[in-house]
Amino acid sequence: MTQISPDAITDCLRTVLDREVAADTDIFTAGVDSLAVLRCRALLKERTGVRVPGHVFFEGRTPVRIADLIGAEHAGR
Amino acid sequence: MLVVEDSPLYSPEFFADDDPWAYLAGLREHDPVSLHRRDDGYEFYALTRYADVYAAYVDHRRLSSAYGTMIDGSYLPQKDSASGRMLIVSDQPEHTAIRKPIKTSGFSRDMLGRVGQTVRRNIRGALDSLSVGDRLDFSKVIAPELPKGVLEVLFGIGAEDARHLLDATRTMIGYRDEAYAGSRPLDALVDAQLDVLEFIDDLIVKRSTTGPAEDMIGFLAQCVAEGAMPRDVAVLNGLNVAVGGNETTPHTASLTVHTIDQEREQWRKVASGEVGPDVATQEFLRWTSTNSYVQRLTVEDFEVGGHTIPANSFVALWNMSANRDAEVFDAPDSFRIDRTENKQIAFGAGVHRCVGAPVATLEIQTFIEELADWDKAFAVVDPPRRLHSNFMLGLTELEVEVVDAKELGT
Repeated sequence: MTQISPDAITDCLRTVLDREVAADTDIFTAGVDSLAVLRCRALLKERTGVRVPGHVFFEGRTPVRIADLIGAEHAGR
Repeated sequence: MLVVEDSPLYSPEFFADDDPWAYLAGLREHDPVSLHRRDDGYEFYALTRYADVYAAYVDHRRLSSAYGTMIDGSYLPQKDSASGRMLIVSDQPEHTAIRKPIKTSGFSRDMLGRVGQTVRRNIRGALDSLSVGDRLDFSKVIAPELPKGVLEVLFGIGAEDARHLLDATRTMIGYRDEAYAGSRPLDALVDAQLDVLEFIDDLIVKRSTTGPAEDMIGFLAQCVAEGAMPRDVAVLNGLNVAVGGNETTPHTASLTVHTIDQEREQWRKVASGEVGPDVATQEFLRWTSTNSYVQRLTVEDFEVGGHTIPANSFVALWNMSANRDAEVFDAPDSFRIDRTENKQIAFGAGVHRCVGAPVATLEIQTFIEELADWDKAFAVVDPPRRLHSNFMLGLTELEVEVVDAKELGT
């Protein structure tokens, strides 16, 4: 499985930030920094086995867009 | 006050292909305090005289480090996300609280001794592996040996891990240079930064269960395990030390080799023992000024050089310009390997003076000592390629040939 759902991402963000995050929330205006991305990425890896490159979070900015980009990155390989 | 629209001081290309020293000399002479604008609205005040740069460094109350120390580090006055948690972007009182454990665990006299031994072993090993006639890119093959030994000791890691960490921090700082970052620089920057954070985070988790340690990361991991320091703070400062150490001294070493090649007569005085390596080291530090500037933000009006810089302004303290100020240095534009009255300000001044300055100085001095004892020498064979950065003065390519030292009369 190389697809990750927006829900999987919002779940991880919720755990890391300890607050609600919607699928269309801009995570960087919601207080996510590099360390939060690091923790979220580790959780995603633990839960899905997929290691998401850091730039996907910064380019996507919202869980929906991030999930799209992950799909695109894998489709492109 | 001089206002420069579209200032060249923003341009990495200007620093790589043009003469920033001459430009800054002009400012220092005629407009020591000036305002530099870019068409997207970013602006900073440039301080170019030694006295003004020094005054700004020591006034850490009015000049905050919390908004990023690089131009563009944080866009428009907004605090860096690591401010108050990472040494370089923290103001008092957090700054001292972070600096103390780093200083005592990473840069004590005892640590300096151990670092010195490892650095000397690495440099000697690298030089001994070379034969007359070898051609190599000094900046890639030999220069990283300097911080590698520091990382090994401070982080308690092997040479291979140290080299991996060096590659990642190099991409972070040099992300604007294709030599390091390829064609998608911002992607390379964030990916490399996350890799460094991940490496250090893993190390801290691993080391928090291994009991008391004699290295810096082991000590920080213990602080985390005991609840005396948040894990994020330990990780961020591990990053700070790794970047600060890795991305400076290799450039200084490359520029040193280039300078020796151009100043062979003067170098002979070191090789013959006429000039001490400690004295020469200070002049190489002044001459190379690897970290060209640091940025501050005024939190209230700041009077400097007869001008008032309003509150909430970015100010760039140009080390490289201060280090060529004729008010402080005789013949500042001449390299004088035996310069004794040398108050070079390459590491800054005041409470934020580079915490790794003693280690960096030791690395360069050790390198100079080993070069002076070597029976061979580096002859530069191609014009070096300068790093595309206004923040770090360095070389991304320095093609050298190994020659017999006697042939050059050293």
